[in-house]
Amino acid sequence: MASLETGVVVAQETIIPGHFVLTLAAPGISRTGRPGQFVMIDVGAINKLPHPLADPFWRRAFGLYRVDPEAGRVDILYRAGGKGSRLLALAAPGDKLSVLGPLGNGFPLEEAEAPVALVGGGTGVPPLVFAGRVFASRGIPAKAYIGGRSANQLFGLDDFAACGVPVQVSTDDGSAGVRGVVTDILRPDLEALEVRTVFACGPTPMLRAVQGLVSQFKLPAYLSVEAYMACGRGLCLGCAVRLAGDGEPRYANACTDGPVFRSEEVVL
Amino acid sequence: MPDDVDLSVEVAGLRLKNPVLPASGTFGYGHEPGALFDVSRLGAVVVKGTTLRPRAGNPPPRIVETTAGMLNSIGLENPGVDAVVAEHLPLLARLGVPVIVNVAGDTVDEYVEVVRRLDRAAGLIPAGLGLELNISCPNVEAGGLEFGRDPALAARLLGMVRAVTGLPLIVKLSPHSPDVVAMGRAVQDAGADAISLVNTMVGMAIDIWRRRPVLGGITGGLSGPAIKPMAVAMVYELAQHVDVPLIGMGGIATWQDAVEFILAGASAVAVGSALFANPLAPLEIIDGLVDYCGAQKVSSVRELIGAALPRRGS
Ligand SMILES: Cc1cc2nc3c(=O)[nH]c(=O)nc-3n(C[C@H](O)[C@H](O)[C@H](O)COP(=O)(O)OP(=O)(O)OC[C@H]3O[C@@H](n4cnc5c(N)ncnc54)[C@H](O)[C@@H]3O)c2cc1C
Ligand SMILES: Cc1cc2nc3c(=O)[nH]c(=O)nc-3n(C[C@H](O)[C@H](O)[C@H](O)COP(=O)(O)O)c2cc1C
Ligand code: FES
Repeated sequence: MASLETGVVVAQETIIPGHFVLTLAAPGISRTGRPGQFVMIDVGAINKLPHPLADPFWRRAFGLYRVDPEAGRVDILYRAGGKGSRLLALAAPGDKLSVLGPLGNGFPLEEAEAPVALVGGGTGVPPLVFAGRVFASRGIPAKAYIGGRSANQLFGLDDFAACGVPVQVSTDDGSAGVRGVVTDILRPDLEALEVRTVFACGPTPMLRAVQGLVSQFKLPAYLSVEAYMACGRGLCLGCAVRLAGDGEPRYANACTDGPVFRSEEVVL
Repeated sequence: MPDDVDLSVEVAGLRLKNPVLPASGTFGYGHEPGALFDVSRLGAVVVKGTTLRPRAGNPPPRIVETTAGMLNSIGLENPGVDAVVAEHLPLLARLGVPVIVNVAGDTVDEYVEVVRRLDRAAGLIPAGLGLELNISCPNVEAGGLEFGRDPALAARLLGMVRAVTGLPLIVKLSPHSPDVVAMGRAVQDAGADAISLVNTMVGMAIDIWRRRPVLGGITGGLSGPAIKPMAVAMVYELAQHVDVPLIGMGGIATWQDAVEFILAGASAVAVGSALFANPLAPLEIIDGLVDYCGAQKVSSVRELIGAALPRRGS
């Protein structure tokens, strides 16, 4: 169950230009957070200013990347692109942040038939790393398929390697791994029947391509979708995702019904 | 903290232990765990726009962040009045606070039927059930013109609704009413017990890379601190010309914001989109009001209502 927690910044490091790993002391979330769940951070209220900043107006959503229940720590990995994430990048050790979480349903680790393909790119990689670690710790076979624009845009690969999850890479420009998109490296393994379940997290065009591919192979797949989120708690109905089906359109909330949906369940 | 300050107010015959409410559509049905605090601490709970039949809502994206605010085009997604009565009112009753159901429709008949069904369910809420008519909806019969832009249309709607219910009736005004005073007087004369203002302002955002509107509904309603000064001005204006109590809203995020609305003439205030970033804002506002009353040496918040208005007759 989601709750509000004051997270204290333990460390903040740049991993590649513009991308940060933020380590927070947040014991509650560290104990209950599961792969595919996320937190929302009030980037306008670092150290709870007497007046909250009205701008940026919303919290920012970030997937759980690592949790350490013993140390009571939670890591997120994010790209500082817009005004809210750039403010977050200014947070320094000792700063206090209001963290809401863990939110969302997460990936169905228990139901997934192995071997599991972890497919993603960009800021979709952190939740897949978390899932990969859990699978590795349980001895469940998994393999990561990570796509990116070029070699210098890739991150998280070492994390998979470190926990013993093999990882294959594609880049648009061929500067690392196979030249092409992530479905190009996934397809041969699906054809070879080396995958029984797909977990995917990444930009929407990538998720659509994965959706197309898994439907050809009739494989169960779970996609973590992105949507603009205001409340993260099912109150505003702003994060609607179209559900598949004929007739009157129907919608689900990405924040409470998702962010992970069965591939055939949603229209992206 | 001074604990002898009286925050209670009466609005439209509803007794509120304090003047702080959630704004319709920003707090779900109020009994969900996502509220994150003890909802019975609020003056009342205000639930989402309720229509006769279930509505699926608008295609995504439905919301987008803007400078000091946001746009929404939720499209009144709701399960319909019968489900609200059967599933939500019984859970809301347990909170022990008054409940205000926001009512929407495309035709006069639809409003009347929703109100009739809620009226029959009033016994479910012993602490008091009130109705808030959202008249910012386009009236299908009148060629899509919003009830809220035409005092004659609004008064006709009020008359029809008043005829089927004795429940506290609050009318929620759009900031687009061309003449807020004429509108306020029209609904007061037609039987409104209170007026709430403001609803969202029409706005839009364009995705410059896709060269298309961001929202699936093209335009949306602007809310948040960006609209607060406009909302305060409307409350201040209307308070000088009507006698029914006002519920002020639009951009309230802090207790200071709430005090502004009260001084401008609001008997109660509603917190809407600020709840998203700060779920505890209503509690902070309640605490802040107690402290402010103490600092101002007033024993009741009622002494502050309209205290910034020009004196009548001077
Ligand atoms: C469930 C979920 C998990 C996420 N996990 C991660 C993660 O682990 N690491 C990471 O770097 N990013 C993640 N994102 C995306 C991240 O939330 C956005 O990149 C971030 O909100 C952008 O904020 P900004 O201040 O940089 O941009 P701004 O341009 O200031 O953002 C403007 C508004 O748009 C929203 N927004 C912009 N881009 C996105 C997006 N891609 N998805 C959703 N909302 C967006 C912002 O939240 C904000 O409300 C996740 C998004 C969701 C919904
Ligand atoms: C997501 C969202 C949904 C809303 N839904 C409704 C609604 O169903 N009925 C209504 O009368 N007002 C609705 N509103 C308007 C609010 O109740 C309120 O009048 C407005 O947002 C201004 O207050 P704020 O700036 O504090 O949000 C909605 C606002 C938002 C942000
Ligand atoms: S973000 Fe508000 S309902 Fe999902």
